[in-house]
Amino acid sequence: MDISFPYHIKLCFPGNLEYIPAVRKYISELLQISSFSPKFAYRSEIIVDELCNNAVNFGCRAEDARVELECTFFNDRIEFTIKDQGGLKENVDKLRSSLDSPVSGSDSGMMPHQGMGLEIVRMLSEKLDVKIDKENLTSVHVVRKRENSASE
Amino acid sequence: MESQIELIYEEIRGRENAKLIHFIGDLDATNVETVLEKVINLFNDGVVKLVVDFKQLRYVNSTGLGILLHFSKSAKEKGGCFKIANINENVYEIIEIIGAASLLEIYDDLDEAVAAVD
Repeated sequence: MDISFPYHIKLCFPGNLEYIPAVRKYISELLQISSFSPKFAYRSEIIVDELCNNAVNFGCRAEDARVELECTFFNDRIEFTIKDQGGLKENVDKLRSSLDSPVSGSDSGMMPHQGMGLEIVRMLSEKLDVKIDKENLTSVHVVRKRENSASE
Repeated sequence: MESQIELIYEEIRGRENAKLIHFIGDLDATNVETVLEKVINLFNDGVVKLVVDFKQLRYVNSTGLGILLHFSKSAKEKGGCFKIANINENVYEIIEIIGAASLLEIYDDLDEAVAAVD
């Protein structure tokens, strides 16, 4: 299959966790048919999953809230931008605090912790920018570069 | 729709209050509650020594890792254990990234993990 880079896709889905597996698997499959390695695709699947989970958990206050994920595929990298429609102040504050002080498994209180997700994204990507505006709308931009074949 | 995960249980011969569980599929935010309920039921039935086989566990995210840490802590508090064997390279990488490798009892080999159960 001939792929010409860059190409861009935009996905918009309801702010519900149940949509996320299909989204992350779709991105992973697109990467593999775009000649990125299975390992690159797997790591990107994790990034998409964690970003989408945060958007749904922190940024979907309204029942009909939606999440928007944009992906641009370049020959040497993929860029993700995910936007939510604004979360409750307490949820956005939690997101802010996890950005300020990332947690690890050793201090996570032994229960699922969204801060761990952002830490995973940070470790698997070259660039992570989080913007939270005055209305608590969050936009996250992530850049992940294609690795050398030796490290894949 | 939930991600697909299947848990298959086996007795561990010669060990009381113990079970081997094979995890098959993906563990993520959509099915952690289901898995949590199944394992808590085992704990409530007195089965506190668990060996989990991750050979066919393709995928874990941070939410899934959170409950694995929770199972490990709960099993130890109840006088049992939570031993993990056959983790694939991709899943292990995520465990390492969040610094959980030292908090979990991880074995390369299933037989070794089973043999380590008291």
